[in-house]
Amino acid sequence: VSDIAIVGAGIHAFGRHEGVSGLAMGVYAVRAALADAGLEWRDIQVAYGGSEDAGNADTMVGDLGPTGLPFVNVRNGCATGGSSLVSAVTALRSGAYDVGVVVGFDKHPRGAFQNDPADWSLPAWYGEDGLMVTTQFFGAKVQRYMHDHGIPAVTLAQVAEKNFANGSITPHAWRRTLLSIDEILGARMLAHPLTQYMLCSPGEGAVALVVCRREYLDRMPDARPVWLRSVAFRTRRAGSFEVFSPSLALDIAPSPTVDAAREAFEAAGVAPEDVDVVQVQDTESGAELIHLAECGLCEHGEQAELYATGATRIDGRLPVNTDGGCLANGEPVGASGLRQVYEVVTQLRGRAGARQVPGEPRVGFTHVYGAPGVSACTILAR
Amino acid sequence: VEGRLTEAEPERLRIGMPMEVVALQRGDRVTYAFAPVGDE
Repeated sequence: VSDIAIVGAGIHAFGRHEGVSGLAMGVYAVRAALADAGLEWRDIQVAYGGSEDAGNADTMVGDLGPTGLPFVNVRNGCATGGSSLVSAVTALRSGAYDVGVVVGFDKHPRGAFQNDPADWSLPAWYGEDGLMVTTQFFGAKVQRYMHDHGIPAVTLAQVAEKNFANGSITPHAWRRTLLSIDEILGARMLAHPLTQYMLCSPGEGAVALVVCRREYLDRMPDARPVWLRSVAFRTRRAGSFEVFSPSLALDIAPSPTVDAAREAFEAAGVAPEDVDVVQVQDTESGAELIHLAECGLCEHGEQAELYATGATRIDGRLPVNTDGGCLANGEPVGASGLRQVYEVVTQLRGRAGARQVPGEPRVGFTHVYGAPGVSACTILAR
Repeated sequence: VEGRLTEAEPERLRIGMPMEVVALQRGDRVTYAFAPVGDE
């Protein structure tokens, strides 16, 4: 049982869009979500949204209409979309509003993310030594994880091969070219054991959702709601192994992913084995493996068999990143978490076309993770 | 503490091997790094 429904979902294609601003992509996504919901912008009572690098969301009212609604800008790194959704849900549950919009968008420069240590409460030496380059952290983290749990390098390639295959049949995906296991393993080594095609790229894109209270559906007889059974957002605890950490504890504490996923499942009254379709953060191939286990969707070390047997493919028993994830879509960080929700909503409505999970999925799960140790999870159901 | 390695060849590194802290000249300053110890 849930009191909050997603009644509209819109997306602007991910990738590179010369001459199109991040804000323009956001406006496009909002209009698409409104059309999907059968509502007008003037119907919306509250909005939350943001980006990391592409401007202030509330300035969209210049295009959408200056109706005077409260529009809150959110900027929370990779958790921007998740934070916006949490905020909107909380506002609706407070009873102050009945219907709202959530929007995430971004437009990053080409190349790796450029971060200033001072912006992350880190000393200058950390950046001067090259440790702010996130690829080195992710390489080191998955190296240790594979060592501890007996996962071979080919499993990393199987993650990427699957996600590019899923991206190839997703109209809004950026990377739509199939790549073989050999091509992925044989590509340039960027951060051992991660090759070029095992890491996602900063990119561009936008996603918007229309959310409402259950009572508001009385005004929307044609709505096809997907119920937001739970949404949880957590930050790191002392001792967790996080990106942008200048030290590592001897006793590693659970990651914020573990906390957020556990909270989401408990709040929804759903068990991991009930989930029919999954989206997890795949900044790189290893992240998908680690996050599946941290979310409780498999055991640590079970991933090698899951990927070797095709269990995580669209027609497998645990379909993961059915739209190609970050590997195929890139990572416009303000939009990335909401892209996962968009994908699950599309799957639960049975509108995913060539990438539709068979068997009429009923329950979906999303998970986003980012620097400096934040995670947001949702559970959605028909 | 997190730091750079002096050795970048994966075949000469393994998790759990003994390491020592060494001084490392980088440009106009000195920083630290971790170096494999002995034959490890």
